[in-house]
Amino acid sequence: MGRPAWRHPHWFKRPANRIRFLQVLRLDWPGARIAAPRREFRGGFAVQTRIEPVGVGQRTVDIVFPRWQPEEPKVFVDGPADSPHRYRDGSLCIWFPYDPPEARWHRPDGPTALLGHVAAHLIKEEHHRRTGEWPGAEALH
Amino acid sequence: MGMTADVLAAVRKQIDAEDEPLTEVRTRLALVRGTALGFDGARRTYASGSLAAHTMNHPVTDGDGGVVLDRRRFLQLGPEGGGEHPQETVRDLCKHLGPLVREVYPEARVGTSKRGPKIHFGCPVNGQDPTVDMVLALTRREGSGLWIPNLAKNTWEPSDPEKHVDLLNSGSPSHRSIRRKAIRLAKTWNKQFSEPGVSSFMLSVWAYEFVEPGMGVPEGLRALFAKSAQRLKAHQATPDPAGVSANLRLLLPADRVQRRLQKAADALGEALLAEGDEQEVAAALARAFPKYVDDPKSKQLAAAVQLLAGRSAVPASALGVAGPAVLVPPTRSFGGTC
Repeated sequence: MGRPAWRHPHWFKRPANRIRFLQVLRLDWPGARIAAPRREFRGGFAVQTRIEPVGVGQRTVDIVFPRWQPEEPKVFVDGPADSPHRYRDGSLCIWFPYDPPEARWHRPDGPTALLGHVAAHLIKEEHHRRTGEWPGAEALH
Repeated sequence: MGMTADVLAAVRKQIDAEDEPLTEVRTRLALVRGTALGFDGARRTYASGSLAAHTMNHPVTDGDGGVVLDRRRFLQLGPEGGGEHPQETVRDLCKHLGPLVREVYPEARVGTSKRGPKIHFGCPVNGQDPTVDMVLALTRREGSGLWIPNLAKNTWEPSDPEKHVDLLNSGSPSHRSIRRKAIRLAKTWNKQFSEPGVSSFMLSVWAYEFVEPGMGVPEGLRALFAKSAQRLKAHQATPDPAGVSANLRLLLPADRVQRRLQKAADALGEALLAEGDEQEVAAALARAFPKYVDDPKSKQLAAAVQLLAGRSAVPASALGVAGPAVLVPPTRSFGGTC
């Protein structure tokens, strides 16, 4: 067996990229910090911060970029988890992965845009818990 | 009264129909009924709908009534006659009503709705210009009730609007009053959604079935929400209480309406459990009546949800995310067991 083919390292393998991501995040969330990824995401890159979406209250947000999916963050939050739009591991199903790029988040959009998506999702979840209605579009299985 | 009842009374105060438009719509309905009686072959008229059942909310939009025709004068009309369709007779009735109504309301126009003539008066009162919706009806040879037209399909359907009013006005005065209040609140709850899931009539029927004597307004409203949610969960139909029409239909898929009803029942239940704690009661009821109960958190949430329900990108700052001006585009939340 030969050696595996060379692959371009993930963006977060370079310390400069990790630091830049964190620094941009800290401009608006000074408490943001690099966190140890959960066991199942070992080798990935994780940051943690707190946001307060309107009408929801404060939530701790863990953003994890998995090793095998470095451009597709997994987002975990504390607080109530009953929602029709969560993955089995509890992370948020914010967008349909096969939707066009403008309907998803991309790393060049920056961490503020990602937290905007997270806040929007948490607001929708809270509304669903109160009324049984999901505001906005859904991609059902 | 408990705190839950107090908060619900405050909601009712916001949705109370104003006296002037209410008096005006009664006057208009009486005028149209009287005029319709002069139509060649008319036997009698009746009042129906929320005006007759005393469950009208603000704004006053319409007054419902009907004119019952003498079958001997219209032998060919209806499924038990010669099978003649209703459109031509409705047109004749419109022609009869127009000039006479315009003697009192010069700007009045007579069009048609699904069931018969619809009169627009062009004379607003306190910004409200209620219409009168008349149904052209035929007595049924067999069975109770009336034949009423479906002008969209040009067919006749059985119904008993007079019995519906009798049923909704039945019971002791206190039971009747509680049921009417519960209906008005349920209608208000339903209309808060951008797409209401239940017709006002179906909510009234659920109130008739589920609000029992001895219940207060909060208990009655909770029973209405909880028992109708149970019914939908069990995939059971809601029959016409008069036993004449087909089963009542929802305006949206049953599972969606069931979720809404269950959440509203839970909110009412939590408010009743929290009696004594004003803030808790208001917070619970704000979940069912976010547009009417003053709870800052609910108001903010409702405003953000309104933005997110649209198809435009939303500024992150409007969602509580600080930082540079960033727009959050609408996404399709991925569903179910992802």
